[in-house]
Amino acid sequence: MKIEIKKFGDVLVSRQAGREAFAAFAPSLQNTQANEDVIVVFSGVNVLSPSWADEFLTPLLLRFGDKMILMPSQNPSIQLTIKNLEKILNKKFNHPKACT
Amino acid sequence: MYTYVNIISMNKRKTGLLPIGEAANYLGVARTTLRRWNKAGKLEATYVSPGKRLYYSTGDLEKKTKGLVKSAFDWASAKEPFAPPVDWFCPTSDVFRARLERLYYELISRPGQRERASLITSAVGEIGNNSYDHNLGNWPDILGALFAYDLGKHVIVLSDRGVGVLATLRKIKPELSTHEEALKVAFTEIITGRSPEHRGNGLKYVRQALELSRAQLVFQSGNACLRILKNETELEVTATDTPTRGCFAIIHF
Repeated sequence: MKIEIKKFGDVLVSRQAGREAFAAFAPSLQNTQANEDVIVVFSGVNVLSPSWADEFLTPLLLRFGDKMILMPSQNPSIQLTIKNLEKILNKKFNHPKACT
Repeated sequence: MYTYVNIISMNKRKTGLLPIGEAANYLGVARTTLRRWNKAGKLEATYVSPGKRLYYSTGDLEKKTKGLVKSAFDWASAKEPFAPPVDWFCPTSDVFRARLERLYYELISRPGQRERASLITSAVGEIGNNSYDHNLGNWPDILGALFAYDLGKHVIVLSDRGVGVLATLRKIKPELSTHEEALKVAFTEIITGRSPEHRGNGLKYVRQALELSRAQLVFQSGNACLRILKNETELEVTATDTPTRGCFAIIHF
């Protein structure tokens, strides 16, 4: 399954918006197969903050673990947010093998 | 080929006059707000063309923004609550979010700001959303936050009359006793709160994002004032004479 984050907006900053985005998307996750990768794509997102990301990405990570793969982004707020979230969660997100 | 309007516009720029759209961007308000201010005499246009187009001198715009930081601080520090400046007030997080998106697009339209726009906007978003997230159901008097900017002067101001950083962090770290300690913790320590949510970590991100974008931050909560200066990694936290009711932040970029 591929999740295009830009479909939730291009400036993603608040907990409330992150919670709403996850609640709206959660039903789509029910169709995910047991061994299926969940690929998260950030292209088209201009601004991301840890509050939004914690509400959306953290529950995905808790549910899918290593099956969740974050595609790389050159956007500095996305890079810093992911780094920050990994520190808070004390857990690394999975990235595509070619990028690690 | 330049049209007549283009040439007029170029001539106005040469004489230091900005058309209404550029003046609105400069102050971070809508064109309709400038028209309203002009009509009410609150900020009259410097020049009105025969075709009723409004032009503003940068001098007049600067005079208007001189009060921006003071207004935000006065409102955040007043013992008795009073109505905030309506043009910069965001009563709900939705209003704040809409204005934040506008800040981003105005920032990327300015030369040399595209690279920093995403980090600055996300840092402002974290500070502003803290106001709503941490005070939900607990606002002591006025609900909402003040969010103003002057891109001409490279300054962004945020303030609220919420419970402040100390009261918020005490829920997770009851041993905190002063505003100074609370600010240090908020900007330096990773806090694990209610799982799976991790409130209380946004200001550490703010610090890193502003350091990376070579911006300066002054952040006050209660009687403690924290400064993050350009090219300096050390935080400076001092006690101030005039405490704020909630939080007050100035970003210079």
